[in-house]
Amino acid sequence: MKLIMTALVLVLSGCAQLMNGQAQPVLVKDANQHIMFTTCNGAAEGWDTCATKATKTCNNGYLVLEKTENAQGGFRSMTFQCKK
Amino acid sequence: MARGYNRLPLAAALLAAASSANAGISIPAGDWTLDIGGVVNAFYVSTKAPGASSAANIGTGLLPNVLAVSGSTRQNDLDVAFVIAIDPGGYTSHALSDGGGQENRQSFFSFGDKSWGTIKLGKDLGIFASDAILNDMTLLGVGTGAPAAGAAGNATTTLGGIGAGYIYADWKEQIAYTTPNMNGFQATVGVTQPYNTIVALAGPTGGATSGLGGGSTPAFEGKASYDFAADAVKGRVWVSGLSQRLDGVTTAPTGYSFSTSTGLAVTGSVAKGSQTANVEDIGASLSASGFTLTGYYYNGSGVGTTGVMDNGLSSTGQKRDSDGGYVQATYVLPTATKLGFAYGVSKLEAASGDTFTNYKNERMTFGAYHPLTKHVNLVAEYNNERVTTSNVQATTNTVALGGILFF
Repeated sequence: MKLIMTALVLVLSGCAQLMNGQAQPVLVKDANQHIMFTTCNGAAEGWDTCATKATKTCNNGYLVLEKTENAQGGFRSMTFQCKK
Repeated sequence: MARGYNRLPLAAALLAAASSANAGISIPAGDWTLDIGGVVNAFYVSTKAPGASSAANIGTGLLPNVLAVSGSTRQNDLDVAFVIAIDPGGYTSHALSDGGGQENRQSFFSFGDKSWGTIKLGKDLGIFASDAILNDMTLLGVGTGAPAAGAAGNATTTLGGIGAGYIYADWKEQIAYTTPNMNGFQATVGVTQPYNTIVALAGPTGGATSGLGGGSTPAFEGKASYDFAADAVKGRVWVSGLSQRLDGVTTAPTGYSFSTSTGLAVTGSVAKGSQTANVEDIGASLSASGFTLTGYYYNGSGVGTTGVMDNGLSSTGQKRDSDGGYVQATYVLPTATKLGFAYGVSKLEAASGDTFTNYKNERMTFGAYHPLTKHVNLVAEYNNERVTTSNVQATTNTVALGGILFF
């Protein structure tokens, strides 16, 4: 019974962790110019999530200043400027 | 003054020395900014191929492990950068194999300016079909091509969607020019290392080879892409192409001879001069409300399938036509988990001298990709691959569970 309870706790805690995925953050590159930087590397994120994070960050839309991509591991980054 | 952006978490409020490179560890070094980045991945892969027992392997997926060192600086009004990477694979199948195989995929430098573009010299991902693999959801997963039981050898990767939806762009020495980004439009043209025609990897057995590369000419590659955003819909469309002369075409051998003095030798091969291989592709990816839909198509002659110039010529040295493509749909759940489905197919038509009537490699992939942390993804994939040669089908099923860390 102890073994079952222990296994159950482990499974439930593991599932709880899986329900809380962590997105790659948006960082302020230049606060005065409202220029931001984010990455959307890996398998779970992509250009769509970079765009979604920019949309959520900027109240009045944004301009893409630079996008970089490296095939070694799906590295993607986007620098953008929030419209004032 | 009203802020044009939402307040960000304190931990993410400052970005020190943010560079255009993507690596996770940034080191200021005088005039240079050095970055150390890479990938570590491992998967439990269970495969059942026709006529074979189930195979269990633990190894790397479509990507090998990667350790890349890059640097960037501004010198004499030019942006100067370099990348050098080593790529160890994860597969071994016997003792004393020194820990598996290794590739060396990237070693290039570049210089340029935002006003006129960038020139790159060295080895990097090929230009043709690069967007096809970069948009493949199995790029950081496993896909097709898992080793058979006991046959992992020193393999470095699986194949993902390569050969079942697109041709591998490969890692090629190149001299390439990329334009500045002009309101979402960008183009790259370059000369790349010409490849010999081989008979390997996948497809029907047999075929002519070429052993003199492109002779006096390199391969020519180019691509153009346009990124757009219209309200809630964002996306990219792209085209690319490759043309290469194949010098030193030699027909397939018709027999073998053996001499105690010279050993085994092929007989019946005939020199057939040269051919020219061409291939073009087109693709598009659209995203809205967490959904992303990607479509891709390629068409070529003499370029073969799976790899560039793999199985591109018939036994008598005639060019085989090839085409294929894939469709892929993904959706991001509120938990940030990405679910995806993809169908891809690559076809190779028989040409004069061939004994097969057709070749087709199809795959269906179901995948789930979860961001456990911002640098760790957990991956679960089911892959169904069906190869049809002369109307005879062979189906392989693969289940892969594992994860990938990128930094």
